Amino acid sequence: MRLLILLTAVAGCMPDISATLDAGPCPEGAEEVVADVSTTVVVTDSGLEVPITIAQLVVDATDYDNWVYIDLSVPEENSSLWQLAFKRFEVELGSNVDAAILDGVPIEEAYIPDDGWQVDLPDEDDDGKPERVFDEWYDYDYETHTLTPKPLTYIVRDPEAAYAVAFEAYYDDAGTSGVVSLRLRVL
Amino acid sequence: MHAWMLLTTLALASEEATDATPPVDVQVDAPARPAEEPTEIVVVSATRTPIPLGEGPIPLVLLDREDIELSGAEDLAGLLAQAPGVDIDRSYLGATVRLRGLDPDQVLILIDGQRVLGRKGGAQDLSRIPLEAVDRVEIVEGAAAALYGSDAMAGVIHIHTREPTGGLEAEGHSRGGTLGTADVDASVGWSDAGSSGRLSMGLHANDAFDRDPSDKATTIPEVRQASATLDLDLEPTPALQVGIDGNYVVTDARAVGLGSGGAVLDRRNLTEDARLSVRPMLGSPGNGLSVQLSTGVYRDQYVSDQRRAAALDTYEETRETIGQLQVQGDHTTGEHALTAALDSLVENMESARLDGTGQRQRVGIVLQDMWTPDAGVRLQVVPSARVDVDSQFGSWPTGRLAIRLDPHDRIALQASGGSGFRAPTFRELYLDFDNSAVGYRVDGSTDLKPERSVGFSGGVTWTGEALWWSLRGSHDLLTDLITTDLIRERNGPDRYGYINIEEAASTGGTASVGIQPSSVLKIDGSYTLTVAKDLVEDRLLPGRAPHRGTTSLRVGPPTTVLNIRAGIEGPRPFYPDADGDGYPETEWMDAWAGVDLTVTQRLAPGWTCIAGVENLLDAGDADRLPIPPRMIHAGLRGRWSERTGDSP
Repeated sequence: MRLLILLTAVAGCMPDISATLDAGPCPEGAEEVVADVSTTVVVTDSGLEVPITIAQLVVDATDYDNWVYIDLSVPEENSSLWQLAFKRFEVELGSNVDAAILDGVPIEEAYIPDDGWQVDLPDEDDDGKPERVFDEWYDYDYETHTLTPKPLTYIVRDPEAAYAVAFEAYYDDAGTSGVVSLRLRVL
Repeated sequence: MHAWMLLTTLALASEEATDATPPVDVQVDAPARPAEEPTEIVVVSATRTPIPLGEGPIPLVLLDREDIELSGAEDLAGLLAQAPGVDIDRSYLGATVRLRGLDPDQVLILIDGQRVLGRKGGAQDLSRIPLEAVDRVEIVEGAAAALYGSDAMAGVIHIHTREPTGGLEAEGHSRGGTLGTADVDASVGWSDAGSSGRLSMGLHANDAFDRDPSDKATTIPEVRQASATLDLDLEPTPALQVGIDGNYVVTDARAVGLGSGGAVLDRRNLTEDARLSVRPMLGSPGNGLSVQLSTGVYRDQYVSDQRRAAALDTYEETRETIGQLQVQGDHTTGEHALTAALDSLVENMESARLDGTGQRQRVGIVLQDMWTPDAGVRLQVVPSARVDVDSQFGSWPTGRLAIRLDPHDRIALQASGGSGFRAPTFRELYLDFDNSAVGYRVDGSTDLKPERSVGFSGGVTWTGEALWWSLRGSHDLLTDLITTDLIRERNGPDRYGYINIEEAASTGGTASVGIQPSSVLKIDGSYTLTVAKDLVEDRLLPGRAPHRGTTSLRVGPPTTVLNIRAGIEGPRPFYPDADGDGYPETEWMDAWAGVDLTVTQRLAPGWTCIAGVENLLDAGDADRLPIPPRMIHAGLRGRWSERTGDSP
């Protein structure tokens, strides 16, 4: 036992290197919901030039336990009036909100479809989680464990308005996961 | 390294061969050769008992101090890289070793009889074992659980540290090279009535290297390493000898890695490895009682520091301790050399990734009879049996039968069959790794059973005056292999757990040949065929080259020795999911060759200059072959001995 104690002391003589971790800045733009607005001109089939406004949202969804609720009409965080909620890669629809998926349609060309509307449903496959419309917004690379957005545009609709939402990234510039970048357009 | 060593270990050194062998310069060219030198070389790993090299029933490859110095290698991975039948796998886990196509975690690594701590991903990183204090390395292929217990499924690599040779002696070595390579080591030995000792110390450094400049990640980490080893031999009474060994190695490795999502991570891994053993022995080797009480501590600190953010910053500390008590009695009577041993160990592991603290106790009882019947020809029959009782998986019996027949004084036939097992690691039992940030978690399972194997091998060796060759084949069947599997799929993050499900088989063989037409020229080579298959997936196991070969050429001595070593590895299969469809594709990595060259020049009595090039062809890539680039080095070695006045 004395040998072990002596050896433990020897093997522990190097300093604790955890102190070498600098605090570092918070993920860029992840302190809150950040929205930058830009205007894009879209040329319609009939040749008309139509200006559309697209907001760029960055949602800090890095928290493992708490949802971040977003009111798309502003857009800003609002836990009482919201259409979408984010927690890591999970996205939930609010009550009285449904959504449809436009596969391969850029957000600039998004439209309100006649059908295909869905709402989040309770757990049906017994995996302990509800069946969410946004369950498959990403591709998952099993080799690198990297999430990459699919080329989908979601149309989110509540009684007041409809919105086109397209995911851009799950990581910020520093590579921090859970920092969700979105493009948002009010239809 | 030298295929002919393998050959010589298998052959009885005939008197004819002994007489015909040309003299060699002991200073620069004194490879181990059984019964060809005045001092008999003794090995222990094949049977747990000291026997002359080449006289055992089990093949054994010996790499001695001369090989270490001529190789230019500074760590165990470099030394083993071109040994026949040995497959060094380099990855982000470091340099690990495969034998007979089996996984690195199925190879038992011992230092002076003590298990080495600090496995990562189940395997030992051989690049953190420096060589300045190593006297010799014994490699025994095949299931040896009947002697050593857990992990010895593919074989045993037994490292023996240097012992005092008598009298006062001193030795120093320094080397510098490209890639920021700097090595300095020194040792002193002393001896007086009733005691002797050796103290060795070393410093090693190399810079980081990047094979893929398109990203910020490094391929080879920057390493700073310091080590100290003390060996004391005491003889308080003529009948009692006590050996005391102590060793401390600290390794500081820094690298730049990439996280998912493009995060750039500054990584640092600081490991400390300390061990101490006390070995009293009554009687003489082969006829006495020996006890080894040893303890070891391994501390691993890992920091990953995200650039421009702190969200992915991590610090992990792992501590492992082990205590071992080995009691062994050997008795020779008539045609039988009997061995009975009791091995016990207590292991403990603390890690943030474990659910609680891992603890384990195990006791093993070994019985072996080395029977040499008087049958007119040389015949050895060596049955061994062992039972392990483990606090996690209960009792586990293993056995081995080895037979050797020498129908002619130049020919040795050897055959053996045995069983092996690998106890589940603490990580496999208790892992609690939640990586939900990227969508998965892995849980250990206390229901795991040991991995099991049954292996057979056989071969023939010819030992001539200037030509040695051997042919050897083997087959191993592995069941209950532990792997991770998807336990339950959720939306996004997946939960993996460890289960006993995999089955694998490895069949292969090695052909070796050595030629020494004169005292100044020696050539050897080997070819190894390994067909290691995953029987569940019905495909070759990843990362194993079915075809490998080694060759070496030595010219000299007396004053100059040119040593060229080459290892050639055929294409290796990998199974990445490159297109992200959830199904793996087969990808073959190209064949490659590693060539090392050293020139040793004796400058004056006791002084030797060594220069060379490692990885002459600059092989390697960032993903599948992360080895250091071409490295040019030069160094000086000096020796002084009270007995001889110059080189010991």
